[in-house]
Amino acid sequence: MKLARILLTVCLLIGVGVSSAGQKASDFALRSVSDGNIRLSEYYGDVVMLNFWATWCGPCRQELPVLEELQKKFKRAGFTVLAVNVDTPDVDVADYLSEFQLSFPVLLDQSHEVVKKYNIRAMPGSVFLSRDGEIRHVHLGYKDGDQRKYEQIIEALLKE
Amino acid sequence: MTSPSKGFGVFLKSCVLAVLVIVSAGCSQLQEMTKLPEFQPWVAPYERGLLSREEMVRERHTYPSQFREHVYSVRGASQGATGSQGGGCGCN
Amino acid sequence: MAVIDLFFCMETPRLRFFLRLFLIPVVMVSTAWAVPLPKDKAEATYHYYDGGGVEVTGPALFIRKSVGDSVSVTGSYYVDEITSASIDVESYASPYTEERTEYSVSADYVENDAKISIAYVNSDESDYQSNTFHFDYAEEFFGGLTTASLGYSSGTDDVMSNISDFKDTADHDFYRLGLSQVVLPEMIIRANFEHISDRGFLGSPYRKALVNGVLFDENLPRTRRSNAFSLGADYFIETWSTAIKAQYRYFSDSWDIKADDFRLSATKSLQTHWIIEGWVRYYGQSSASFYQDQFSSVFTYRSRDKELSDFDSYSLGFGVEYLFEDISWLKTPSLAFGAEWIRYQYNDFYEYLNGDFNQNNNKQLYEFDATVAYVSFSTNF
Repeated sequence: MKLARILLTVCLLIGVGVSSAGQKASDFALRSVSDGNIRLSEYYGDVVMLNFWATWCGPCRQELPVLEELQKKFKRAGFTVLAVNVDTPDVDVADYLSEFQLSFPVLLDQSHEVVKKYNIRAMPGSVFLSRDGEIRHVHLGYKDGDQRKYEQIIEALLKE
Repeated sequence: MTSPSKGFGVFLKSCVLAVLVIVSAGCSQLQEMTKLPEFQPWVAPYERGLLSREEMVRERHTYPSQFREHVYSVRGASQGATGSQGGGCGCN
Repeated sequence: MAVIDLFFCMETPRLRFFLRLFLIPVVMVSTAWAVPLPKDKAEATYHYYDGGGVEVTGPALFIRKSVGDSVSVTGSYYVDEITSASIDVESYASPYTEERTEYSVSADYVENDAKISIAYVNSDESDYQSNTFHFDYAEEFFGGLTTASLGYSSGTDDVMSNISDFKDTADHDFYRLGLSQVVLPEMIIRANFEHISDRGFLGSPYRKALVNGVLFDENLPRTRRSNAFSLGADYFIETWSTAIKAQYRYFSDSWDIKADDFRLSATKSLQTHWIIEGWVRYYGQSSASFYQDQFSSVFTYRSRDKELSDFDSYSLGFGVEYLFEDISWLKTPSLAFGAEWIRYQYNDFYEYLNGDFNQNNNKQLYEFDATVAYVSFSTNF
């Protein structure tokens, strides 16, 4: 029983979210599906939506066209989506993407280094960064109607 | 197992806990105060890809496995705890 | 921390467990993994069974549609065309054909980490009508790694006879508990428990028992309580793109029947479009206390139902599935075909040659092979 108590306490105490609002976003460099290596800091000055997704995740698939609409709508105002894929190395992400016309970078995080750093606890997970690289909002999951929420967050961040 | 006085202590504590739970469910401020630190699953959501693979998914087709289960239960005396349920029939 | 201390001061383990179960979903911060609404699906299957002189074939249609974000409804239609010349029928009755139709409707409601399902099933044939109602609740915990479920079903049957005025009823209650746990990124384990309570006419108005070679109506107890428990594990071997699934199930009831059910299957994907599957199953049961192939005198409870006797069965099956590319609004359509061979070996049920039940020398233990097969087209939309 004592062991169970200790175990439970340990389990409950492990990990406090590192992905909380107001923090500076950790910089990283990942290989992209089409444009070579991409570093997050290259986008400082723009509002960034870091979207973590996988080919096996149904809601992620539904969300991709929505991300493309956001990209088209806000790109000129200084916004970009950075889609970070967390599939295992055996998955052909480029092939999966051929049916979508996506104009934003898709990065490969096969080792799960970045998704772990951002403590993403649901799929898909989106982290909204301000122009100076601060985490302003974390959105977990995707449902019909979330597009409106995303637009509101992005518009607010663009105004800053 | 537990003596009457201990049992009453447990009952009292559970009542307090139940009240706390019910109140915190409704009151968001109290909810903030009573929040436990977030639980970190040892298999993270982004590591769930393998379990979603077609090979791992049970019952991609609904009827084939249900029909097999039906044959097993009709041709034997046992039923239950298989994960699928159907209705009764006069299958003899 | 005060909350945790309060927990640990609890003396009764059972109370602690249930309160923890109740408290965790309320206090847990952000839902890390919401229960998904079942996907819209349509399926058409043709099933086939042939064994021991009984042939059952028929179609099954199934459709599931979501209504809004939280509700999903299903409807299904299933038919059994039965041609029976089983050993019992051959021995003391005449071959017959029959049709059984089964309709079911169900609805699922999901909210955050929980899912509630209700279903109604109606089965209809000329001498048997059954209505069953199901209720299930499932909830995810610990970041979606654990799913706990409980369920209750209630069925009422009207039992009749095609050859007499016989009429009676049977009632059934089912209580289910289930737990599934993600252990590793590539492994999930499951445990299920079910308690079943049957009351009423639980036998067959046609089947006969043998008392010293003479046919007598069988007579079964009017109550039965059963317990079934199963344990299973699914493991994915990434390098081989193969999923291995194993399950053991144990059954025991108030009629003294005990059964063991072992299953093992392997599912593998080939290239992009094919999935192949192979499985084996061993099932063995011991007989009901009131079962005998031949009774020496008229016992109150007596049955010669081979399905209540001591027997072993061995199965070998395989399946092949082809996954098509999306075709306009049909998403992930697939065509599956499968077949299973089952050998039934009875240890205390005899086949009496020449139909003479009195012979003590001209009998042999009964065994037969059955073939189960299906073709199924299924698609999401």
